[in-house]
Formats: sequence, structure tokens, C-alpha cells
Amino acid sequence: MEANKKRLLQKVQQYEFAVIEANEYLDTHPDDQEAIRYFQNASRHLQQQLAAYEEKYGKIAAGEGEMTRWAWVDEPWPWQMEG
Amino acid sequence: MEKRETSCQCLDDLPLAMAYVPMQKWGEQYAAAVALERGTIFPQLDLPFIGEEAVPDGGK
Repeated sequence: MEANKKRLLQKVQQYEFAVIEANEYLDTHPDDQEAIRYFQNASRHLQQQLAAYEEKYGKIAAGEGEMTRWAWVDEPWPWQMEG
Repeated sequence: MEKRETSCQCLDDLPLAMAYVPMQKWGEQYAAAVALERGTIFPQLDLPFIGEEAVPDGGK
């Protein structure tokens, strides 16, 4: 996978993880304002990184975008991505 | 062995012989890149059994 594509993908993965972590914390601390601010900030970063990736490399999730082929299979599988 | 004042008032009314897990409070967070590596955004929950701080000074 091309270096820049991998770099952008890793950014999406990092912010997606942070959003999920904050989500889980908020499940048990629904009124924690600091956690809510962190969640909103991480979500905004995720959207930005997602847009940056998709602008160059197309939809990130399987099945999104125009459908003439299930292009998902053309992407390297997770275990084929070098470390 | 000098008697150290360990029990504080707050623990006195807790039931005896029962496990107790304190509620997490929002604290420091790792940077996103570090968090994904460590598997948590919370340094306070990054607790591998290695007897030292997992990521020196919270990866800052």
C-alpha cells in the first residue's frame, strides 16, 4: 500500500479508536463535560481525517460509493498490509 | 512497626470482605497515536504487569 495512503489510513484508525474509547467512558459517565468535549474533538478530527483519505482514495468502508464492482476486494487485506 | 493510619473515614462504612473497584475519573489522555498502540487512551488504565510505568511520563 502506497505510503501516503497508509499514513492517512493510520490517522483515521487512531482517531476512530479515541472516539470509541471516549464513547465507552461516557456510557458510564454521561455527565462528564470534559469527556464530552474530548469526544466531540476526537470526532471532529476523525471526520477531517476521513475526508482527507476519501478525497484521495475513495470510500473507506466496504459497499459505499457508486457500485459497479465490489472494489473492496481490490484493497489489500489487513494481514497483507506491511507493519 | 509504627501504626500507619491507613483506613480513612470514607472506607469505614464499606462492607467488609467484599471487593471494591473505585469509579474511574476523567484524567490525562494519551495522544491518539500512542493510545492506539497502547490499547487505551487512559494512562491510568495502561497497566501491563511489568512493574514500571508503561509509557514514560504519559508519552508526552
